[in-house]
Amino acid sequence: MSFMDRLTNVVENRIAPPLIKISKNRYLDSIQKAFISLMPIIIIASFFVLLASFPIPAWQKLIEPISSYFWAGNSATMGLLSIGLSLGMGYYLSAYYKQIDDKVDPLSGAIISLFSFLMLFPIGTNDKIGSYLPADNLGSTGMFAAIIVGIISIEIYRLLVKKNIVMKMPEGVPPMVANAFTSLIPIFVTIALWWIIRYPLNLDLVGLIMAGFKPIVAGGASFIAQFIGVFLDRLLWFVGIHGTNVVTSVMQPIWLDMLGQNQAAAGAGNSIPFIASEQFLNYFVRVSPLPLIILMLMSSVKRYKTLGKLAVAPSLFNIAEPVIFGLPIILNPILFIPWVFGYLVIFVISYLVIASGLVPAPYILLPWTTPGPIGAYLGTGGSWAAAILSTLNYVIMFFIWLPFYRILERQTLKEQNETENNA
Amino acid sequence: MNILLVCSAGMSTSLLVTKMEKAAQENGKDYKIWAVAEAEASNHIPNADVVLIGPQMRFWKKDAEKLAAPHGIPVDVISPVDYGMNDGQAVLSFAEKLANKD
Repeated sequence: MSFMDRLTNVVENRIAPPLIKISKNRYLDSIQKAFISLMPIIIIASFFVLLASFPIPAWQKLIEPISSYFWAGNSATMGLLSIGLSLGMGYYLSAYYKQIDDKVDPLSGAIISLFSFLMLFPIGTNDKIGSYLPADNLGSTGMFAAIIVGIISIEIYRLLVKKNIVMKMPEGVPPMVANAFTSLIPIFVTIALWWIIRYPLNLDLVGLIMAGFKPIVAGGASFIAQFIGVFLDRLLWFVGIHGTNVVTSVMQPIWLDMLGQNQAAAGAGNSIPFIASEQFLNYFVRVSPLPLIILMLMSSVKRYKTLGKLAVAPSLFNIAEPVIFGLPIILNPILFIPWVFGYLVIFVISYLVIASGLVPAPYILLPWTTPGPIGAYLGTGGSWAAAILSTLNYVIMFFIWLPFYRILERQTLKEQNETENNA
Repeated sequence: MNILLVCSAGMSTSLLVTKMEKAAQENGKDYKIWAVAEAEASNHIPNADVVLIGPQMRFWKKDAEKLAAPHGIPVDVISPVDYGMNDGQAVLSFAEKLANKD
């Protein structure tokens, strides 16, 4: 067996299956789906930050009297994200269980999860504003609490439904009414549980969960963890599996926490705490295969040129599948090194450049289809240095692809000539 | 016939949708072809006659089959070569074959 066959075999049969299994874990899958539903809110939250911090003096002068309004808009979206996550978590996890047991109702699950979570936030009163909900941990910092409370609450809910410990309605009661009563006992049990923990036992569960997850987040947000994440992402793509999808399901909560803390720091005028965020990966590292496509467009191999024309427009928006499957990059021994290690090279370079302070770290989330340099510019609140770094990464990737692509091209041309001579 | 394409975000398969629609039109066939993200697929599967998965999401096939089985809808993975070359005609024929097998 050649080295390539062995490598493919290891990735396909040893590395990919456990990762895929983790990514398809019902809890992680529910978290990911909840985040996908919340993506518009996170993007709007980012636009508030962008409007507040856009570095054009005329704009800054214009919005100065109302700039706090933009930050308020961010606080009311990103700053309350855990509420949405709690709701989505309850909904999607219940939807998963509904496939097994039809009596589990996703909407009831969403309600159970949300009110269980809110039970942990004692409402205060203040002379000036009346009663209020303390929002400090309703943003990204409370995410892990929302997740844990959601999972436990839904597990209790579906167990009670499964054991048929629900209030039964006589026949003839409309299903809408019956459903509301079906969830009465599960809601009672879960809410009572969280009430006992929060009030009679007086445990600050949100604080405890946050403290418990702190080392995990710190580890997950580190250079090395994100570096390994990109490596696995590219390695899985090499055997034709959507590595980004798989890695994202594991990294998503950590990425969101990083984004929330980065935005909070930007709002407070502090330096951005996390460099290797998802935004960093999107704007600087996992950039489009455009450099390779430019090489293909200049190619004398007709098939490559045709594919290049087909792939160039989607690639501007970071859609790489046509070239990944068409060239193909997958299982192509010649392209293994630039595909897997090229991106790691620009990961390290970008990290070092940002860590040195030459370029600011991004803290604004834009849709992943945003072209790299534009994402880098807007994502850092308008830093030209960031746009230049992102563009430079395309150039670096061009020169990393170049020698390997030349080998591929030469080999294909040789084969082409041989076929033509034989014909 | 209703053909549903699924990938991670529904983006790269949507490129193929355009090509498949064109091929269907040329064959004089009135098909509904659309692409969605994996996360939304469960809501769309009941409306489809056949479900095709992008090759990069092939690990999702078993879950898709679980969702599609109660409706008796066939599921399969698109060939990587057809996917890469964005070959609308080939994928369309593949969908037709898959749908007519039952």
